[in-house]
Amino acid sequence: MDSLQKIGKFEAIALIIMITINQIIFNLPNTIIMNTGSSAWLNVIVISIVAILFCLLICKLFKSFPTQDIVDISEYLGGKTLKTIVGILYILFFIFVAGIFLRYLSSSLKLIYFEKSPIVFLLLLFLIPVVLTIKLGIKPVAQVNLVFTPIVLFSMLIILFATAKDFVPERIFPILGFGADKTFLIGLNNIFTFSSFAYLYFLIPVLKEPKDFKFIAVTSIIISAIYLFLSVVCLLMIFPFIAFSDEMLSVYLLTRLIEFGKFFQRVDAIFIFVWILSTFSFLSITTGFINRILKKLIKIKNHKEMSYSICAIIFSVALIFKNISDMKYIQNTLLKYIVILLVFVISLIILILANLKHKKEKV
Amino acid sequence: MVGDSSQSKESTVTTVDCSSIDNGIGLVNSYISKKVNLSHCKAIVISEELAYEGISEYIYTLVNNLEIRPNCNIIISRCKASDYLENSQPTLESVSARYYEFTLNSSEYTGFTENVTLSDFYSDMLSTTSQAHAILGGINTDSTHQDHSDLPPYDTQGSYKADETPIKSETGLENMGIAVFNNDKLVGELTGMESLCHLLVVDKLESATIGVPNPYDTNSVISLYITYAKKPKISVKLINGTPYIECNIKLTGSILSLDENVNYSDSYTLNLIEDYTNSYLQQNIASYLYKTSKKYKSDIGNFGRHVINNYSTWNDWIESDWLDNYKNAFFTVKVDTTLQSSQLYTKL
Repeated sequence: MDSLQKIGKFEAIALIIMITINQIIFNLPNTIIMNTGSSAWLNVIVISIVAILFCLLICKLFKSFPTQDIVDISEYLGGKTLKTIVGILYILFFIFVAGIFLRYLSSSLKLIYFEKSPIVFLLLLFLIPVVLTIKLGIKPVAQVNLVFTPIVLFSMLIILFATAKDFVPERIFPILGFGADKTFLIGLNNIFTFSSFAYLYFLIPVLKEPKDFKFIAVTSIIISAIYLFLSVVCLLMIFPFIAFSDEMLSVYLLTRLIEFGKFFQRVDAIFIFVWILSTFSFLSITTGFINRILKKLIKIKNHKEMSYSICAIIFSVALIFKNISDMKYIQNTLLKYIVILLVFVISLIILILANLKHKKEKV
Repeated sequence: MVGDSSQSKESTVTTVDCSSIDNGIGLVNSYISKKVNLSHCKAIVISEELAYEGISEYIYTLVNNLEIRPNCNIIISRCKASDYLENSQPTLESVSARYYEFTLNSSEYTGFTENVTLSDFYSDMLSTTSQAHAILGGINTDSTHQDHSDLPPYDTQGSYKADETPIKSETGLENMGIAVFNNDKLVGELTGMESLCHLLVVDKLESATIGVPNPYDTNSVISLYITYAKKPKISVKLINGTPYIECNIKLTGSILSLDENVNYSDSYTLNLIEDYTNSYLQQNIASYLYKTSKKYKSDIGNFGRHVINNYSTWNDWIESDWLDNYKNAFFTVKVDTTLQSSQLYTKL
């Protein structure tokens, strides 16, 4: 049965890209710009290079464990205790990310279109399909996501090209923005925008061909980097105030500028629809991964039934936040450091130590 | 606010005294039988009187409004905003909203104003490289007409601002010229010709018809259709901290007038008209540039964007205080026009 739940390399690439695209919709380009100013594009190039190098490093570290994910490797390194700790940390991380993203998009939708609808209805609108989908397993989620991803990518390209008429290229200057230190040193914090690495750590066991992991990881990170770069450049070139203002959904502001001649105006609704599809994908992928980790941690006969409880917890997390400013604060402070610590520090240390142990045992 | 998808004859103008835009809409909603929705708002009209006091508060509110589209236009009315709406009588369009939309697009073929949107205005107002400007509007009546007969004939066409043109028409509404802002406050107005020069410099002119002096008869005018031959080249240098701005504009065009005494197929004649056109436009563009710099102290041409790349960090750029330094700028303008002869006939 489990072999039927394996996914191909393009499904896997689409899965990782979808995570980044959702981050872009979730206003992360704006966070980068607010930290670095007009040098945000330079900062994205730097963090993209670091992310690609990091990606190559983890691919090398995973080579010794060709069929295992980070939880399995933790067990190998530190036994059940470490496995449980890492597993719980990642479950909490995924629940937190899904909860905050769900609430953010639902609140935005409520403001834009459903002013009078209770937020609970909007949250359930997203979560009920996720509960039903995830019971089918990760494979159908990945397959549907493979259909959605080109649509979402294409829609992002349309936004970029349709707003190009309003570009003022000089807005990418001063070249060092808020300073060289903020661009190249403090700005390295912005690597948190590549939180899709968290999903890469759990990808190998669901791959049909685990040897494709390197290709999948590098390709998806490069495509994610390109989209992140394009969205940052687009926002910088269009809005001269972007480094100092705080928008709800900066990409949505771009869509409001789009018009094709005199006949096709107010096309933002189409993009919102596409983003709703991408949110379904994102939540299903995240819930799917939580389900898989839970399966590893607790011995339960029918783990798919866990999707009800996972979604209920995500729903509760989404309801914690009082307002959008709460979410923005958490996104710009707490979430940033959680990603850096868990995804880029703890996981890397575990992989390095596990490799050292593996080498030692070999000798 | 202007915007109505219903038939123009069924449109109404409701005026309310209120403390804020949203409160005003609330009051109007309680008064009329329908809910005011700004989704189809095509233009926002603000009176000159209010604009002199500063309009940032209103612009921020409007930008924050989900219903208002960023592409709706900003008009600074030389009369009271309510008079502007009450006296405008849409003609040639049955739908008011479409009427305002197309009227404001006239800048594409006249160049006498710029199609400034809410998004443009807001961006410029917050920009550190440029200042905001808006469409100048007014209600044209016999009493507002200006007599510019003392000016040379080639200067009269573009010498008017909104509501001044001696024109007789059913439509009272006239949008001509540009309202110049410094931060959020109106500081001055540009005439039709100055607006055309502004469009030429900022690379926004689609096409225009201008009148230039006739080299063979100084009391007459040669009408030219002009458009860009190449994108204008702007260079800004800082000489001892003082901005030195060079504008190189290459135009192409054709002669619309026909004169039985002038042979437009003759290269000497064409060169002569080209020279007259160049010097006429150079003079007008320089005059427009010095007016914005010395008189209004407002960089509506966004020249700051050509100098920002000289600074490496944001702090350096802010310390340079470009918007304040613009008043010290001096300019060199070069116009190079190539005329493609006349239209159907070259000689009579």
